[in-house]
Amino acid sequence: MRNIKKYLKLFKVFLMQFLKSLMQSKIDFALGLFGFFLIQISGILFLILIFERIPSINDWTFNQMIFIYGFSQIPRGIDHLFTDNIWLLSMRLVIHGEFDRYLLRPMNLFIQLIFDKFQADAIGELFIGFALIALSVSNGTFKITPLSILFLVISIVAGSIIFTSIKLFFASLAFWIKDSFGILQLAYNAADFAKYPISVFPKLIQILLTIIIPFAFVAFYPASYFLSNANLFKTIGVEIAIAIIAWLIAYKTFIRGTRIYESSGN
Amino acid sequence: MVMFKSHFLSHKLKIYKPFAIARIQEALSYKARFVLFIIARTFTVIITYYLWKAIYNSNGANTLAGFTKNEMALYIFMSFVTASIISVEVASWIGTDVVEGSIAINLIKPINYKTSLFFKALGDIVYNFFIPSIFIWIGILINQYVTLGELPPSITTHLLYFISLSFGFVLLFLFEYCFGMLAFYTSYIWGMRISKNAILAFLSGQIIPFTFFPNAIRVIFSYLPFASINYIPVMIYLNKVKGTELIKALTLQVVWIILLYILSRILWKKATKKLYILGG
Repeated sequence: MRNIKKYLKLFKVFLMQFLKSLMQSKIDFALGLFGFFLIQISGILFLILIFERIPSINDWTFNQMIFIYGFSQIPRGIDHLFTDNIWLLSMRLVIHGEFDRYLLRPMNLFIQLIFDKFQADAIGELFIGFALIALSVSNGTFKITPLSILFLVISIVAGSIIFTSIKLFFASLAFWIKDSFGILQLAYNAADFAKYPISVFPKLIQILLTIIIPFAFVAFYPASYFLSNANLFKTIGVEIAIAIIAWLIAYKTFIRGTRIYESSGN
Repeated sequence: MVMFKSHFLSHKLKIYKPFAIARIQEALSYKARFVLFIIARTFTVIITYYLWKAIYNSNGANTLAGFTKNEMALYIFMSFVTASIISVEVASWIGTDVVEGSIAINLIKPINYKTSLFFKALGDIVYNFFIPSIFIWIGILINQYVTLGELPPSITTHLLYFISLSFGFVLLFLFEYCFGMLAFYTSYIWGMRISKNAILAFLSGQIIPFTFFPNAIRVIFSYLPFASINYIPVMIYLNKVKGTELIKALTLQVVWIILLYILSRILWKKATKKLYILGG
């Protein structure tokens, strides 16, 4: 309990630091936001232009597809906002011996790592995500009830944990191979598949996204619970289970890595 | 006079060639990272391909916006090949040079900064051409011939594509160079780069062919310089730009090269005037 209090206090300190730096460089902030915003916009324009000509893709309507798209962006944005510093672990903290400074402080290593940086660019993804969900729901894709909101929130939390776990796992490989940036980028980019109904892709890709890098559980499966009344336990239930398993594997790998970490000599 | 000129050119080439070679060596020494990066990039094209496949299959449509299913597949992959060959991050290089201050050293060296960047970009192109573009391209040609039973585009088409592709590269280089001048005014190149690449991908037709747009927007987009970078070469390869249209398209590319070249000179003069470098 005291530990949680301590970390909450530290979180506040880091957050204030971040807000100060944000105020200092408002233009940078706006530019980053705008960039991530544009990427999303072009993806949605693609869908709009297609649906001008056709009624559905594999029986998914426009409103259903933008729900999946938007729903995939929220866990991505939350993860992006809070744990962007994990990228640094993959590309330089180990190889340059910069991980030293975390080991010197009496605080949980993972929390130190992510508290070091908040990434405001992510707000662009979050904004688009919520806007698309709102648009889709207002067009009547499903009924909003207190229960559905509760499941939405649970699913978003679980989805964010899956995202962070995948990132942490592949970044932690840097403790063994020094530079895991390429592998991490490969794994992270696989999340782009999750923006669309998984049935569009061939079996092999479906299996990869379900079992190996479980991004399909971030958006498509939970979304199908809301959109097509799929079984709750087979969608959001499994998502929660995968979030827990993925986190345990990733965190364990990370901690093991920190134990074999050797600083680079001078 | 002619002899003097050719001597002059070969002298220049000797000075700037190392910039190109250094880039190729750099890429070769970071092979693992580079190959993984390339695979990560192919995800987008794989996603787009299967989306289109589902779009055509689930609606039983033969053609959409003038594209048959096979033509669309060819369009997507050739867009990817074209973009991969000419992809250069000149703006980021300038950004790094400005932020690190090494631009000052470049300014006092007896070489032209822009020319050195151009040769660096050429080095990247040579590398890009072999990894991975040529392999994907051969894959496309084989698939076209074996699976679809179609004859690959003629030698003339390939030749015209290469000409248009070269124009596209010069244009992209000039655009990147002009964009890089922004680094003199803001240090947040990362955020700018993301916006730039998103706009470039969309307006150069990589995400979706312009024929899908409403007519007025289609016309505007096809006259913008971005169309000349990717859309025109690919449409030439698909044999969808012929006769006078073809001459018009190539002329448009040249006109944009001239305009952007002039712009690049103006921007460079303005930017270097307000350059301050810290430290001694």
